[in-house]
Amino acid sequence: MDSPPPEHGRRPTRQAAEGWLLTFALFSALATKPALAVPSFAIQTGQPCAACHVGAFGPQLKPYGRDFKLHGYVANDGQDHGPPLAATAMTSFTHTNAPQVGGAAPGFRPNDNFAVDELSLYYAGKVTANTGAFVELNYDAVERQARLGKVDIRHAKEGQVFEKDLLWGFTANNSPTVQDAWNSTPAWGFPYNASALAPTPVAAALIDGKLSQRVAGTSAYMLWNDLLYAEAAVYQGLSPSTLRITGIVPVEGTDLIKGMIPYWRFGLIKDLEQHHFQVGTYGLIANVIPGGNPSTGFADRFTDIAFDANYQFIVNPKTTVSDMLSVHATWIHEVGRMDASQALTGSLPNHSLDTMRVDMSYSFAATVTPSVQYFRTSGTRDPNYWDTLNGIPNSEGMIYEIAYVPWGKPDSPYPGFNARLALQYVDYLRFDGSRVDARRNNSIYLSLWTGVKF
Amino acid sequence: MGATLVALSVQAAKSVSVVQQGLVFAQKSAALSQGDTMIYQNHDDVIHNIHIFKGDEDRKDLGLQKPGVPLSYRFDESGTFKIRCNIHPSMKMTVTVK
Repeated sequence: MDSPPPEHGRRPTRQAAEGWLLTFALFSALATKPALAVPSFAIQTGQPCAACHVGAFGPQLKPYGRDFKLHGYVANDGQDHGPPLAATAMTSFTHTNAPQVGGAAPGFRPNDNFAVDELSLYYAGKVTANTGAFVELNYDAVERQARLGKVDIRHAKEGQVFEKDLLWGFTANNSPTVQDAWNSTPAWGFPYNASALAPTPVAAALIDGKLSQRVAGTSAYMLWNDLLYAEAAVYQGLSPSTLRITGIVPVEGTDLIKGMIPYWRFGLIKDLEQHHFQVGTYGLIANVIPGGNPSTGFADRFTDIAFDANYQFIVNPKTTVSDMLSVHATWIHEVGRMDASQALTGSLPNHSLDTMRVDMSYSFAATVTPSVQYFRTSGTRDPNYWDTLNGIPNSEGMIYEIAYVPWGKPDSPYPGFNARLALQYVDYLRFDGSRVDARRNNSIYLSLWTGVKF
Repeated sequence: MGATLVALSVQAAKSVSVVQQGLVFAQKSAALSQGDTMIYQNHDDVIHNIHIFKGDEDRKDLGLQKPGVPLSYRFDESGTFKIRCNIHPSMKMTVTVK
């Protein structure tokens, strides 16, 4: 997504706004009923963050966290905790190896930027006995834009088939894989937060975040015998007016979806006491009108086929603060039939793009969690399509992170409040087709993420 | 012969303990006799709940169970019961009472 050009003379206004936002974030943390992981989920269940989340804060799920999600966000302790409203705030400092000409973003310096990255409000919890919701409203303080974030509304029920347990349900959501319970898929994959002020590669598969909040769809899913997971969904692109209303901007000049998008997801799961295995596949097929320009009468047709795997090892399953090893991997293969792009820009008629990511983390006592990820994207060279120096979309690198979460455990002195301090280093071996200057884009990202419940 | 039958019918009801640990019941099923009591021992470091169903019928919700605090229920009725934790949906076991 292209950023608008820098606006001169706005910095004092921006600093004032950031000061107000920071005050709001601190006020929220101090003045409201404090909370845990996705704060209202933790309050609803009476469980510490560590029961659901690896490292005790953030989206990485343990087996119980996946269970809670697949059962529709409705598990609860039977108490009345009021509406499941919560808030999070994320602040950060970003340093890049080379300064970014013109500023890292409008209103920011070329390098060494402090930022209030994002403020978020959530409705997250039980709605009825079998229906729950995760609805996120974001204020992106870097782009200065309020928007509807991730949405996943679920209805789940249980039964039996062939004398084995069957969990089945429906979700309505606004991003393929946001409804997924495994952290190998794009919506909730590592890194769990990243700098909005550091350069990122231009190429990504459609399923790899390019449809986030730009579509809406429903899916039906089932988990049989805690062994076989199957899901089928249909999405539709949101109209430009809906995108504007939900704050998903810019709209002009961005790709639009034509027709319906079928999505699939299958997985095999084996949960043992200490070991948790999953292998699966997911994917979609979509027709895209590049730049939202329908003048050719054609669309580019993308088919994304992905495979993923997860492994978790819980050292001591008797405690929620056990050390834990987690490994996630995914490979996404995208093929594109570029009818519209060929007509508009003379791009090649057929494209492919392969993305691979493997990450591993080890959480010490649900408090200190070092993580490492290898990522690589490679695809068809096409100077008429990819906005890179040589028309090559390839990027490759490593991400190193260490996160510290002081609370969110059963014996935490602040049982209702949590925070995550993380230091992340992104090291590019190749960036947008170039190895020569790739490391100019390396970044250090120090972030503080806090959560509270209203 | 008659005296023997009487002795069998009045055998003492027993108590059976089930441990909750690692967010699961230590056993998936148990067989009891009418009048037996099942004691649920929360060895986890988080709150649990014990909710008893007979088929689809809600029989008894024993409420929240703090770590280290046992909850018990006496099964006076024959049949097959499902024991669940409202907080941890996959935590369940079957009790057959004869």
